[in-house]
Amino acid sequence: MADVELKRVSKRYVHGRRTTETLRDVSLHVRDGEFVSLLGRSGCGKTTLLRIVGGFVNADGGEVLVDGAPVSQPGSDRGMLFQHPMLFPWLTVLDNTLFGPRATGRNSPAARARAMELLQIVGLGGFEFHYPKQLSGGMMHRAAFARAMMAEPKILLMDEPFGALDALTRAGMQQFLLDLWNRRRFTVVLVTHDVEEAVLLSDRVAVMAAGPGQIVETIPIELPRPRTYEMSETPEFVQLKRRVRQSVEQTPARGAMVGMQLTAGG
Amino acid sequence: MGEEQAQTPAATPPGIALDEPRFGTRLLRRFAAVDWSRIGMGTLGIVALVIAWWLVALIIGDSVFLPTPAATVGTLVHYLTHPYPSQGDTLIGNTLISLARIVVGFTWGALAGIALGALMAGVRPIRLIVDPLIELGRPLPPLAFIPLLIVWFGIGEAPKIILIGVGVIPVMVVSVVAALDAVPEEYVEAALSLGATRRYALLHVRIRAALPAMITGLRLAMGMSWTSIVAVEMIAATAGLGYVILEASNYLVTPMIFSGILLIAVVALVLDGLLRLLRRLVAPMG
Repeated sequence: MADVELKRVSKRYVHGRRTTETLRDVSLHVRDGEFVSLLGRSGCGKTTLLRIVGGFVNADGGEVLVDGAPVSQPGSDRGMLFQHPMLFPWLTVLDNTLFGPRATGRNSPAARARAMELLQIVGLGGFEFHYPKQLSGGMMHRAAFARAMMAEPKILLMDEPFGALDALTRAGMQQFLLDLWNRRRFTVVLVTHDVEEAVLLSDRVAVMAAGPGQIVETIPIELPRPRTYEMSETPEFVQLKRRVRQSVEQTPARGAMVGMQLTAGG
Repeated sequence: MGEEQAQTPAATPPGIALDEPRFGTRLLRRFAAVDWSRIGMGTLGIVALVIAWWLVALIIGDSVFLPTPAATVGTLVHYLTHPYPSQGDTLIGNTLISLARIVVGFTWGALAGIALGALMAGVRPIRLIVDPLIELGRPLPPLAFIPLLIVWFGIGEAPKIILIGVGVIPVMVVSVVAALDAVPEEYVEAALSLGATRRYALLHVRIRAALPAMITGLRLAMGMSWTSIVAVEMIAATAGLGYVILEASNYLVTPMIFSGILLIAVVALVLDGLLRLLRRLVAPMG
């Protein structure tokens, strides 16, 4: 059971005399085991929305419920993955994975065995005693996955987790995430500005627009599971991608003049 | 796949996890990782300097102006166990006196600086109040306070230890604040989302992540301590390496001046080495 309910969430930021309405009345229901992407241009408030679910930012209005309980602060029920892996450089890969159990006083031989197993699953068997600096970018991200999954979160929140990787590594990580998700269907909310990534991974794509930030459309991605990276070349995929991209392109670009809309591309 | 390759390949095939190396083994490995070619080049520089010194001393031929390295080392070794000046202490004794002042002054100054810096990084009003005071005091050379400290505390140990601390505090405050500010907020957020309490995240993540940079601050502060102690020992002291150097200067015993300088260099190098070792232990892989 892990079900996320956003009810009319609003957020404003005040800079001196100016007020920016970052989010206005955003509602979204993410069902248990569902993979939902928040897709939009930069500045549409998608990261702020994710951080509100994570409990790092408090909403000014509305509610966020996880399994019916309101969110007010960060917690281990919501795992968080950032654009950078954020592994602690002073800890080995294994000790990074065991950070959660240690922080919560639940470290034990069983936890250690589970950490070793998780590292095996993410393909880091044999790298348990390496330091993060000795790993490649993709490996660091997989270690961050293992660390997040060690806390057994109900939901995984991801903020453009592969945004800083090169194209090949990013494709590898997307396939890795698909495989992982096929084994265990955890609930995921992913923030991205990559249309292809959103379509490949998600059950639904929530398209967001800026000024004020809101969800303009939620597009179901009815592609069969399990998915693979090769699927991105099928006509169905290409069609869905076009559909999603058109939806994003209709949203105003940041800094665009009022009333002006993008019509080119496609 | 390209990204599967680590920069350092695993020593064991995947699936066979080694037991974690013991602490002693890890320590040994870290020492074994010493870069010998770097040490060789460094030694070369020192040897070249000694040869140049020797040549210049021979050409000048005036042991009061510039004694040879041999004469200097002779004086140094002799007075390690003989008092200088005659009613004073041995060079070992004077070194220990200076060292003790440094240790006490540096310790209290570093602790006060770390505490103040941590408070400033964590509590905004404290930062706003203290920051201008630090910025006002930081450019002042600690030496400017010596006359005042003598008026207030005489020429005993108190003014020396206070002066060292006064020099150390601003250096530590600035580096501790910078070190804590530089820790990415996402480290703390990652810890919180792994179930850590705010207190645990502060101690085990934010402060832990800042430790290497704080130790670099300690190294800078240690340099400042030597500046302070030698200066104050030259002005108001009856023992210590600064006092020995000034005495030797008054009586034109140039080899003793060099001996004092050499001893300061050696002790300072050892203390800095200890701090560098500490940093290595705290920041594996640099």
